Amino acid sequence: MEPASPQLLYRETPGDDPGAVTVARNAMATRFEILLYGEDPVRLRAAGEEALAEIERVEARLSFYRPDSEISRINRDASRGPVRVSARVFHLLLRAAELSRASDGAFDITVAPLLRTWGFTARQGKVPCAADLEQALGRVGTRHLKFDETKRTVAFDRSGVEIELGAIGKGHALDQAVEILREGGISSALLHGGTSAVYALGAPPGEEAWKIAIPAPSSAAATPENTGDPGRPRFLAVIPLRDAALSVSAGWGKWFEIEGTAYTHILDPRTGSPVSERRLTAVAGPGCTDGDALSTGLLAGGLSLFDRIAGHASCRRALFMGWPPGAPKPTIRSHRIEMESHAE
Amino acid sequence: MTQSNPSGFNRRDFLRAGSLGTLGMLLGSMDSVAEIRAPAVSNKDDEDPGEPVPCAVIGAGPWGREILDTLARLPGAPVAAVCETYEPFRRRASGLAGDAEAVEDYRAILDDPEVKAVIVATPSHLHREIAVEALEAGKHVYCEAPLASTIDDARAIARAAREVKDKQIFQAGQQFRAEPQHHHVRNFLQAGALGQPLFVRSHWNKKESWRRAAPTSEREAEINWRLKTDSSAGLIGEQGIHSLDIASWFLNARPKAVAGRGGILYWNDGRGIPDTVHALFEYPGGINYTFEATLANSYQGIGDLICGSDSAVMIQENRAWMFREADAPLLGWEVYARQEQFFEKTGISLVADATQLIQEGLDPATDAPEPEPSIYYSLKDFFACIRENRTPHADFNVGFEAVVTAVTAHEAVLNQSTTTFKDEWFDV
Repeated sequence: MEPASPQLLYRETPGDDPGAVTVARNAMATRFEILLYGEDPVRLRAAGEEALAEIERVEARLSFYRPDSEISRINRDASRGPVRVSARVFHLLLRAAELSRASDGAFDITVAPLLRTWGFTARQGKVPCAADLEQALGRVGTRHLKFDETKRTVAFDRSGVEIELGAIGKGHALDQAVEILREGGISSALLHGGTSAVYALGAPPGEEAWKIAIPAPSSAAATPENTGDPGRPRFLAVIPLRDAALSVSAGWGKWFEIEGTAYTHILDPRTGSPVSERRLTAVAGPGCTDGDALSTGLLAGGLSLFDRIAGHASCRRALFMGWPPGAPKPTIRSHRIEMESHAE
Repeated sequence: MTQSNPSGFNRRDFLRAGSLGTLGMLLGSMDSVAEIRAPAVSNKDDEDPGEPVPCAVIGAGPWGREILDTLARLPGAPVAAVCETYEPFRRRASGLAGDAEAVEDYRAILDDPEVKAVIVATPSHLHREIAVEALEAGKHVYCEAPLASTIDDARAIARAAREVKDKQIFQAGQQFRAEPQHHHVRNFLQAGALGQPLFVRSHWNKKESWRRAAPTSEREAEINWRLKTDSSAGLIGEQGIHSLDIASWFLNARPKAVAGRGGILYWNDGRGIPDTVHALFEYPGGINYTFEATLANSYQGIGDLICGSDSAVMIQENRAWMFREADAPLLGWEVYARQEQFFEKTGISLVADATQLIQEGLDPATDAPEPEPSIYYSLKDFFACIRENRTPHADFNVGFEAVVTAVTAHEAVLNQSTTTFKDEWFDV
């Protein structure tokens, strides 16, 4: 199996600049990094630290693994009755449910039972028996979440339902961090969480926009296109971003094979099964939360969802690449993302 | 998970009999480390706590916003208003508090007869005026820790609270005093699980500047009050106060003297507050307590260690483990342990109050209800005290004594000196 977190995005510009301050912290099982430009390095560092502290607070609220998080409380108690949640978590859950509908259920925050059934959470793929699969499918779907806006409560309509915000948690944390930076008077910064979600605040000094590159899948992904210099990543596309977010999802890094059938770790919550083709998706738009959800939805839903995702109000640019088993070339759809020549 | 039980005792029978009074009953070898888990806390009363107590939050910085989030989840504590002088914070806070009115001047809240309780979460050096006026206005007051950044200010608040103690609740923000986990650990210690108490050690280590950014220099000066000697009680006063308070609470004593050392070793950016501090407190009986904190290295993070001749208890966030000496008498509950590895020690995680879980047909090793953040328990207790008219765990005395301890230690650090506490310093 390949490393769980391949580098998905590269910063094309600018180069190493002594005027910039970089701060970083590990949170949500990944590394968050913020690059800030401005006049006073002491101030830039202070702002960056505040943003990182906000990311940690978001993790404390949303973590599936921390027993004292709001999400854990919901997962523990919501099948027995409504659970009161903070305004921030409530609005995030509502938004997630909305984005789930927008992606026809391909993005779904209740997918955890399915992931477990397929052994993805234990990083050991296995094909579940029909009964297990049916039981897990019965617990998946945002229709099982019951929201009460007046009382700000969440309830599950059956036991075994679970909320796991892994797909949008990083994006949400970045969106919150951006607010903190703006509040602190920062006008030029680049934030990313594990290189799969990035937000470009303003632009670097003297530039129109931050330029973010999506590298071609590594040679292990067995793409015929990727035959370049192994020391340098080849870019599929370079996307200019200014006050905008970019989320990338990829399902080439993890896969397993049982009895001759290859499975990716891309699970479609609607069918309950992993898809057979490797995929890479990217969505650029105004915010990381929505971008993460839409790119995750496109990854799971595949090409048939492309027009629907690309037409969403939170999507300004979109990219889909799929490598169907045995096909000589990848399927590529792009909406306002210009591909580098070698990628075609 | 659970260990084999060579004595033949039935787990359930043993738990029923299990208490610290049954020490040494169990035969067989035991591992030397045990996790102590908080008693099963029922959330059953949460949904129907009784009469709602409309409240207001004064101060909506990052911590004030955490409080608002917590109140949103706490039944019976509707937030009627939130006060913040800084507009961007005020705007943010109003989104967290439902229909609450967002005001700039706290006096508007004190004048509002609908508001029964206020939570003061402004910078520490601004607590005094607000807390005292709120008490005088007839409000119940929860004042964040430290009560104040000077002993004089803390005394003024404590006196105002004492003045109205028969009709109004005052609670200091030493939130661990209301947390089940800390109560549980303290019960173990009180029952003699440590053997002869030897020393206590706390650390608070982070890698961050403690500085904050703002769009204007005026706001920046205002928001960086923690870095200035005239407005801040330093690392010990602002962060260490919780650990110091736990040490005095667990040892059931006040410190006799404190020696302080520290300096600005890394963040040499014009601040007046040391970024690395050590304080050595002397408690009665020759027991020493060391507090150390730094903003330049995060190794080991935040934690406390209480050492005795039979065992050491390590507390990290809301978890605790007991490391037993090989010759220590058995306490009996080790059989329910889950093992964890700490360097060369094997840890056993324990579930407290296991009897109740077993009676409910649950397995203590896996089914113990998990805790809420400590601020949740603390605020919950505050509102319960208001409804039941009882004294909070962290009352004005507890809040004031912690400030005396912390501020004296902070000054000892600034002066690189040793100070002997006088009993009368602790008098409100």
